[in-house]
Amino acid sequence: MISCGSTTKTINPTREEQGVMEFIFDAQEQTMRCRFPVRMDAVNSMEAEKILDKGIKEITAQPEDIAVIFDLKGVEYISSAFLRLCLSIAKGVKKGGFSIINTEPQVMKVFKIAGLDGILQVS
Amino acid sequence: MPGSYIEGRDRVMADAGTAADGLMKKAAMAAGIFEMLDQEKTDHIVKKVFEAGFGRRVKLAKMAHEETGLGVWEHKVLKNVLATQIVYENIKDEKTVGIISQDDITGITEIAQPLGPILGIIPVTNPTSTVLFKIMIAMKTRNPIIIAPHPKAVKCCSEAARICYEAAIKADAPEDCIQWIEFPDRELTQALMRHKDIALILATGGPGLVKAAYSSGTPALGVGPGNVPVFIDESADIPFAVENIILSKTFDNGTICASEQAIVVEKKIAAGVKDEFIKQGCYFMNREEIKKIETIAVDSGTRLMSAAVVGQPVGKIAGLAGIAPPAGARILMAELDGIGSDYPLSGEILAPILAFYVREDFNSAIKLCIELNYLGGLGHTVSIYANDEERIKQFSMLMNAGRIVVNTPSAHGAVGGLFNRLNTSFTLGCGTWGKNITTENVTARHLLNIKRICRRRSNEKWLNFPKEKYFDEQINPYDLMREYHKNH
Repeated sequence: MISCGSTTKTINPTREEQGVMEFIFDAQEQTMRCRFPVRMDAVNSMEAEKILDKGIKEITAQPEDIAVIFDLKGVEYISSAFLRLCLSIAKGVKKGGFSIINTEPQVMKVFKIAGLDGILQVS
Repeated sequence: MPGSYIEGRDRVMADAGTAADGLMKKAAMAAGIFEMLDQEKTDHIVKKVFEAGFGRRVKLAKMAHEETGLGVWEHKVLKNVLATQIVYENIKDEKTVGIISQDDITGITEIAQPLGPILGIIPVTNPTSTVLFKIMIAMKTRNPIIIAPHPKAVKCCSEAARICYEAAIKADAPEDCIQWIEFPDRELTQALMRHKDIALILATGGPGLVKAAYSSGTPALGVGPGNVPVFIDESADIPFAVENIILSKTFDNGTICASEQAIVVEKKIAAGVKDEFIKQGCYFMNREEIKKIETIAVDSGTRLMSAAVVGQPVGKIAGLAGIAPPAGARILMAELDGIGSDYPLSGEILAPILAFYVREDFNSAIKLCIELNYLGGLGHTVSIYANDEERIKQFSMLMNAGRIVVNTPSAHGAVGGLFNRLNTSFTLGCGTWGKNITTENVTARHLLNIKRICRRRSNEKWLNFPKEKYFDEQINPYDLMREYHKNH
């Protein structure tokens, strides 16, 4: 679901049994908050990338002006594609405007081992 | 005792390379003679060295305490006991000479051979015990050893080495099988580290020294720093946990690198745990007091612990910082909000100072333990108090540590032999996380080159398989596998 100001748009992921992806844009805060299913494998990550890419373009012509928060509560598995997505989003939005929150311990450890906890804001 | 140590400061200072050559020539000769000893003679030497070191455990402990000004002499006695009696019990029956195993089914026979001269680098925090330990395992494996003590622990280390050497010589060990440096010099240590004839460096010390050992090009087993997080789960017996943590953290005023550095608890049990620490004599500092302790406990330049507090009692540390905890306070507790450079007490401090963290739930607590583990203590030791097996498993799966001690004082637990069946050791491997090749407690068997005689035991499957089929890529791989595993 993408909710932009008073306009709400729903985008369903293909595999709802694993949980849904949710993208909510707060126009006042200029912040996109994203939630993900339990397994962010390659398929889900690519789907999230497409949705985000399209969604951000619909919201603004200047993505470098917005912030993005990935809320990983409940996400138990992430793939290389998801790490790439994180890096790509961090590059595209405003400087320091990308953060990853509510990680499960095993997911946080992936960011640590990958050395991305120093580049991205992960908590 | 001809030439068992460097006899003059001038000679060392004049030319480190020449001095290193001199030591190495003697060590090489000792290595040659060592090769001729059988298991019985080797074990006799080890027994005599054990008896000598064990017999002087109090003298050496008092010397170490007096010379270094660190720790508690009675605790250093116990460390010397651990390094002699408990290590002896641990290694005495191990085969380390000649054929050590033979398997007629596999056809493999293992033969143990010494590595060659070892350089044993000794820290200021556990000087005599580390000397005794390294000599014990070197003798058991017929390796000559050169002891390079920390400059502030030269006398006690030299005396420990001398006692062992005299006992070894009386037991017919090769001349110069144990040497020691009476006038420590950085250049000499580096020259020895790089010497072509040194087989292994057993490096215990600060990060700089361990890094120098690894950079020398000589194989090294080094001990990285620790930063031990302790998770107390809601399923733990809290008074028991607190009692054990205090026992460990106050042992020798916290000089063991496997001692606890931070307590992590969930919010729902935090008040109870805190009360128990207070009840058992620990003092929770206020924010101002924490600031004052930070100033003296951590070097503002290096961000590492300050030598002024290492191995010191609470009273002295409090005096240095200008704070006044209650008389007899056992540990200075610092409740912190975060970790890293903004929270200097979140790193390793080998003194009775302990960080304390409260987190909302289990997941947040475990995440903090991971962060602490990564803050300078990777590969070393972590600790958990819990009676919930699932949580012990979850915690263990996520920590990068060679030792995950459960319901055990971590300083005593990590060194092995007292609260568990780990090998008793003063050299705790930290795996590749700590730039080591092993996560094990280093012991005698790590100081051997194992040769393997491999007698012919043909792989019948391989012999019966028509090899020409491997050259045809059109054949389905699973058909090849089926053919390979066919019973003829």
